[in-house]
Amino acid sequence: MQENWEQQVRNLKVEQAPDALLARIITVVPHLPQASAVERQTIGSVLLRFMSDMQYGLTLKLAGFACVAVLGVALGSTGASPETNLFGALLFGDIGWENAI
Amino acid sequence: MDAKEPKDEELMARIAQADRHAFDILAKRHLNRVYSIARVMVKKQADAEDVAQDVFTRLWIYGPKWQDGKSAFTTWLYRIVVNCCNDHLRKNKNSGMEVPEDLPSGDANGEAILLQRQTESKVRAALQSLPERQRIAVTLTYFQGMTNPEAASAMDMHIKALEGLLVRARKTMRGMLEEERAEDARKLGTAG
Repeated sequence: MQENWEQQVRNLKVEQAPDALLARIITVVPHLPQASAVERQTIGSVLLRFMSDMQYGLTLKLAGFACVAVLGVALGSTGASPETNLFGALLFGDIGWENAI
Repeated sequence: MDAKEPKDEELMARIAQADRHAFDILAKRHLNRVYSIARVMVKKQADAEDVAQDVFTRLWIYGPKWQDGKSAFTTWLYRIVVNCCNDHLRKNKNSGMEVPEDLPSGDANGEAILLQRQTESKVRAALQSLPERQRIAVTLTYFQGMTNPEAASAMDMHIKALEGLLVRARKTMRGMLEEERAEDARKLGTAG
């Protein structure tokens, strides 16, 4: 059954927009530049579109992988090894299990 | 709409070619509707005007990107309206409620008009106190008369999510209007 308020919402009048608003819109807006229908495809724009289409979870995972990769490269470039670098060992879970084999 | 008048889709194709005259026709055709939805969604008249202008600005700018057949023009337009309202509400979270204008009195059927405007004013106030997404769902479905799939598409959500919003909105609205009615009855009792 339809409720009374639903009918009342349906009955709300369409309001007349002020004439000045219409005048402003049709005077000002058409002078603005339009977006081009076909954008130039650059790696950046493709990547941005891909990222915006992705689910947040997947974005987060990829960002996580990227962070680990950057850290790995950064640590690797310092010549640190798990044996000499506690932070690196903790980060990559390299806590000396191979010594037990 | 007159049979001779160009369809929205034809006008959009012309707008994509930067045809200002086509834009004028489309703006005149849809402005009142867009403005009315904005009036329900945002609280102040000036804000509703800003939203309406923003909607038509985006329509012009992104006109060339609109693809006929991908979605109905009105669905696309109302999606822009929803986005503009959302953006506006996000920017102006703490803006206050507009004081309603004075109601007319003294004419022949003044009492009936007064009553109707009071009811309308209460419904608008109740709508405006709904949470943002519920308000948008109710406005599109009941005020704009869109079907659930159309409204869901305009809000860019699954139909089940929209139905959930409508269920919660119904509950909230019922509660608010019942409270209002009880308040009125209490006032009448006190006055009598």
